[in-house]
Amino acid sequence: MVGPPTKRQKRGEVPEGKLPQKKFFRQRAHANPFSDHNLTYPESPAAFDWAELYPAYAVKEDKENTDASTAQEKSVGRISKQVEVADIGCGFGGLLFALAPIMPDTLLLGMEIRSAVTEYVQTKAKALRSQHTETQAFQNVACLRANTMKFLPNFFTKAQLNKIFLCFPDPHFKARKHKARIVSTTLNSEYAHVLRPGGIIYTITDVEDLHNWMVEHLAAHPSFERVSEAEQEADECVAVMRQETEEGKKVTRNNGNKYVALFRRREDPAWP
Amino acid sequence: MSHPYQITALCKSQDFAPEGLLLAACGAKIVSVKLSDGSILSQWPEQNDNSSVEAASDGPPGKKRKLDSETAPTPNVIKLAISADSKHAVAVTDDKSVRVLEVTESGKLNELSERNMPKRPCAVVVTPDNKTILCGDKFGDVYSLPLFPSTFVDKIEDSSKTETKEDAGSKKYVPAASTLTVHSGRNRRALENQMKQKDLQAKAREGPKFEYQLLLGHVSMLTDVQYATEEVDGKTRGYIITADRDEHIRISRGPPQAHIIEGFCLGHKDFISKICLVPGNELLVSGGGDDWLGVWDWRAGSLKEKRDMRSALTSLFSSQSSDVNFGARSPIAVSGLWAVPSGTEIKETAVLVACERLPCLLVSQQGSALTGISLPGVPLDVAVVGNTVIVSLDVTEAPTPRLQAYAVHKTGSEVGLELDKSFSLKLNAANNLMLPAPERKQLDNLLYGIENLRKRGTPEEAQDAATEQAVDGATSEITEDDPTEE
Repeated sequence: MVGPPTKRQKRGEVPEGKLPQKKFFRQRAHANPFSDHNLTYPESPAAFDWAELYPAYAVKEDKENTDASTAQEKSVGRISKQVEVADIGCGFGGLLFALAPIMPDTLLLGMEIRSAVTEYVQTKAKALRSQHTETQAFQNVACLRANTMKFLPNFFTKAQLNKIFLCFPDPHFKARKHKARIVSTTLNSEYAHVLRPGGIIYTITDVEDLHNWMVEHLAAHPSFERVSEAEQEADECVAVMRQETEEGKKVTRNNGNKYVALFRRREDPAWP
Repeated sequence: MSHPYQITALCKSQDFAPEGLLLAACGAKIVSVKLSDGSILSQWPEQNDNSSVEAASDGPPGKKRKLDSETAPTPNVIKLAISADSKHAVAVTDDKSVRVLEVTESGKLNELSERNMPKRPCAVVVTPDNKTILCGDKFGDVYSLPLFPSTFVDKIEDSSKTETKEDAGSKKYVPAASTLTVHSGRNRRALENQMKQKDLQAKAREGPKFEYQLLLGHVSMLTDVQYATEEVDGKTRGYIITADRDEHIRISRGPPQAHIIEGFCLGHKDFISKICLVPGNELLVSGGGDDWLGVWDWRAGSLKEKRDMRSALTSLFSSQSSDVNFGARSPIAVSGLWAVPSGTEIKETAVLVACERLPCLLVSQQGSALTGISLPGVPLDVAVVGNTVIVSLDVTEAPTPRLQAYAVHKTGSEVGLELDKSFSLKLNAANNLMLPAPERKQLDNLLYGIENLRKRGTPEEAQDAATEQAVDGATSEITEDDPTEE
């Protein structure tokens, strides 16, 4: 039986170097963070092939120097830089592609749980890279499929990140679904773990209730302090987050409100 | 046919029981056995009448249960922890309740308190200061409870402040969504309906009515919790070590700084079901669905060694004419890890390993290969009494005793186990105590749950294709619309 081409087939028809079309990559806006999802993830950050995501930053292996033991354990696709910015739940990647030219020397990683959406961002990154081969732009952006609520420490080591973006997360309106929210007292400890002291968590949402929730839970966590409004508005990432995220654009179209809150990672206190 | 002892624990020597007291959980009961002479000192809960025991053993259960309505089916004991001073035992039953039992001078078990947790606890430890219970639950959270619950009401109110998970949102119900946040047709209609139901009271789920504190949490299912200490500059630092189904071992600081994650031990490819601290050195042993045991320097977060279990199990079950069918692809699921002293020095420690449904124990000793010892039944739990271990076996039929003692001996660098006949004889009283066992299927559910932690792979493609098809039909309803595109 040969039917009309499926979405999956149409995705493959995008010519090399052309931007992918979103309509072929739509996927239900909710994913259950507690289910297994058949995800692939590295056993640890060191075991991950980062060079595949950021080929321009790949470290060329010196074959004479790599003896069997280190080659197996440590130097799987190493890159010369570490990822410092994570966009958790990056969606269609609007923020990433807007930030990439602003921070050309920083590696940005989008993390998205929906496979089709991830594929879109990956295809778009590839297309943008091939369109900008001369300037080497967009070599610093990549996206992978991950459930960060479970596997954040599999991707980032302690104090590796400088910025974490949580843009327009799933609000999970029902009280009994609140544990599925991306901000919670217990998950904040993991964000604190991968953020370096001074690093910032950016949150934005159009749901006031969720905004209050995120502010309450991040403010209550001893490792975070809220960034003052003046400093918040001076941050260039905030303007990008308001205007360039796909969801941000949609909220603007619908005349919705956008609530922004930034939190800075504090230094860990001494042992009692 | 009698119920096997699913959990055993040792209450260390006290004046009345110089060799210690063995607490053995058998279904819903906990039996205390004086190890110096093997006498049964008490049973908890106390036997009200002998008839109820018999009533449950034969005859149609539904009918009998109605007759003795006061003795509802008692929940099984699923976890047992002993405080460092051996004065208290913490028993977790499968009705989600945490009970503190006092071990009296005469070996009696007195129930001091019962607290019902919001979720089923899966691991419980008492901190070395004998003041706090750490309780990990299925949903990945670790709570601390004072060993003795406070009775003051104001304290309880205080605790509701520290508990941030449930919101005290019993005020007027206002939908969290608004017309500004909801755009699809179906959602808009749902919101309109919500607005109409003005009197709809949000039912604020009430948290437990006792003092407790959320220390940390995984989004994954928690499988084991341990508390470790370390001396630095004359001060003791506490660590909470938690393991989960998604291959993480997390090292957090102990209270009051449990929100600080010190590190992770990553390297397992399949679930972790048990972790075990090796005393005397800085090592942690972990096991689960992988073919190997992990030996970790947990403070550095580095994997020191992978110890292969499959080869040891294969050679054990192929060498003898055993009827155990263990092939190259048989799953291995570690169900228990116990550190036992194998010599006189504190550094000489072996780790005993039990794997689900396999009638053997593996012995892991640093510097020598894993060896296996086959047993007359599947080991359910091990209690370490000096250089002897009391192994509880899953045997429901006589004459094989359910509790047997094995001496740990060392020949050269190899550590082995040998049946300790005289010690085993002491356990006669406990072995002769018959308690009715449920049907095999129910018993299996109680005793063997580890293999269920393994992830079942479903073809990713098929799954995704199915969800996408569903989306195709309803794109306008649930996915975001973007008119700017094209």
